[in-house]
Amino acid sequence: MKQDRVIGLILVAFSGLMYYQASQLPPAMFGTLGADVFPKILFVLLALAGVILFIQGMTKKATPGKPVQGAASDSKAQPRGVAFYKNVIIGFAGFMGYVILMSYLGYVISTLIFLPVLMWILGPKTKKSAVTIVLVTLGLTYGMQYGFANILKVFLPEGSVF
Amino acid sequence: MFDLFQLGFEQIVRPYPLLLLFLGTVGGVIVGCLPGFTITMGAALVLPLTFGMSSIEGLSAMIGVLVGGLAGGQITGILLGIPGTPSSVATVFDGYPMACKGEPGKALAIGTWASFFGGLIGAVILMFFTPPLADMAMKFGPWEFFSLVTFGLTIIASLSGKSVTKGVIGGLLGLIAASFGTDPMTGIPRFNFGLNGLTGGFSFLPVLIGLFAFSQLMQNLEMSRSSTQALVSDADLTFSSKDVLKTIFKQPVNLIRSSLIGVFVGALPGAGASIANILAYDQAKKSSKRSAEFGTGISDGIIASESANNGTGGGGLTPTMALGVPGDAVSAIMMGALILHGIQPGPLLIVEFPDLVYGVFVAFFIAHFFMLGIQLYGIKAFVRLTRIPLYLLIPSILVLCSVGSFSIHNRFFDIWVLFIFGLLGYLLTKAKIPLAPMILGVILGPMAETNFRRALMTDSDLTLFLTRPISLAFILLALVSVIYPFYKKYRAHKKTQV
Repeated sequence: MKQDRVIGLILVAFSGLMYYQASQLPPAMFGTLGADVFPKILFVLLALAGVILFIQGMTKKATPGKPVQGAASDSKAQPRGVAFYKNVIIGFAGFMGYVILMSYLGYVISTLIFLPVLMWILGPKTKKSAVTIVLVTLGLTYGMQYGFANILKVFLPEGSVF
Repeated sequence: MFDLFQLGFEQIVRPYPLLLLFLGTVGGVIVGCLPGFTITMGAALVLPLTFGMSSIEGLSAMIGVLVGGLAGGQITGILLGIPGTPSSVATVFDGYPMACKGEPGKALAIGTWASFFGGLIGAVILMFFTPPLADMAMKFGPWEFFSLVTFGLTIIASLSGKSVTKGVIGGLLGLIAASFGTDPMTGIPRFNFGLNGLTGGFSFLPVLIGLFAFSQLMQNLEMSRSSTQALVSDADLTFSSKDVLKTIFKQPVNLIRSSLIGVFVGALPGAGASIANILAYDQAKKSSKRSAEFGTGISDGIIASESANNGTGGGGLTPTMALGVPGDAVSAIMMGALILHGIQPGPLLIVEFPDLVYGVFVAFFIAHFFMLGIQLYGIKAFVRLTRIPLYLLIPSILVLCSVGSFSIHNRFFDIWVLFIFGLLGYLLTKAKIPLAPMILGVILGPMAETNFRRALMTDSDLTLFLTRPISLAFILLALVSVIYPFYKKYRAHKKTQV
């Protein structure tokens, strides 16, 4: 399978790069084993596993009837376009935005923005769902703030602006 | 020994720990019954909530999640035909047909009682096997520990997916992730790439939540998943406890065999409930007189699967508490919880903290009674919960993930670690590289490295790993677990050619 060959190559490249990084570590001060030895063994093993995966990918063919790209084991055979991953991409991007926002605005304000926006994008665009989203957002944001800060005594992220 | 149980009893049977145990069990049943949400994810999400608690309180909550989750998977499995967690896959084979035949209440009650008995059998084994096992492990030197960890990692690699190579890659990636940060023996900073946040390495918690919660949420966002199927549940959820218990006690062999399969599979490093329930179902079918009726909705199948998956709980905790080597991903998180509370798991745990270890035993035991009550009488509420739409659930849990990751060190860096490992976990799942070996690698990495180097510093002779009998036994077992799947494939291949 092509996917396995690509992963194998990535693993070999990653191992090589990290092996080089490990060899830059200062040598052991006493004894024979420095900080670099164990990671180096791991990178060699990972590179080996990558090579094996590459070879297996050459000999094995993709299961017929199933698209190779990103085929999940539990799903029915169907073509996977960008549409399939649309919400996943939105999820990752939205979360990134949330973290950046949080570093400036703190937990409360950024959550009050993040939750309704992502819920609205993912959910059905009806009046009823809009009301639910607003209620869930308010309840969750302030409920978690109260629960974490007062009951569990855990700090919440504070922003640099607020 | 009785004193020790009393000590554990005193730790748990107080209002606050009992409340946490109860809430944990409810939480466990919830993550268990929601398809797409796993027990591992539930445990990962509950862990940050336990920071402010004492270690025994925190562990009570986590034990509740484990027990509730193992049993909760059957709810949607039986009512919807979609197992709530991989541990209840085989429950669907007979549970769903029985529900379709108009007896969903009976099917759920049989499953719940079977979970209860399976769990109790696991609890008994946990209580009586942990102390001698820990005692034996006291004699282990660094050689034995390194070989044991190697065995643990290879067996999980060979059991957790279709491809052994990919399982090994998962384990290695976990070990590598654990090697970032300050070297445990010399204090030299490793692979920090000039980032301050990486000086201490990746924090365990955001890595865990990223791999098991974040990446799972993202998979649930893929287009084809929807949870809007009609439930059978509006039908009759009533049952007669007398009939149900009679049905179960008519099959003592099935119940005990399946529970023991669960315990044994759970205790093997790496193999957990997701394998045990299918194995037990298979064995029950093979040895039953009415094996032809399996799959049509008979009680035998439900009993086998559900007693086995709850049996794994006790089995998995046994090596975790005795050796510091977790039996599966959930036990690995349990072990992470101990470490976060400043307690180093290992054979000395039971000597240094007998109150904690016996407290865990007692909590595990009591949790099964909570689970029984919660599932038998709260079933309608859980059915309603499964109807919460994903568009509300996923963003909410994402917020919880980020707050949980932040709370451990109060720094934003950890939320980015969460994001990176969430992305990595998602991509690895797409590449069919299993995540369970990876989390074991993360947990066992420092233990593997420290023991390896300690062994070689004590004596630079590498053959000691092979000449010390117990160490050799673990190394041989590790080799067998890597080679066996290839041998099996080779034999199957030969058969098809003939």
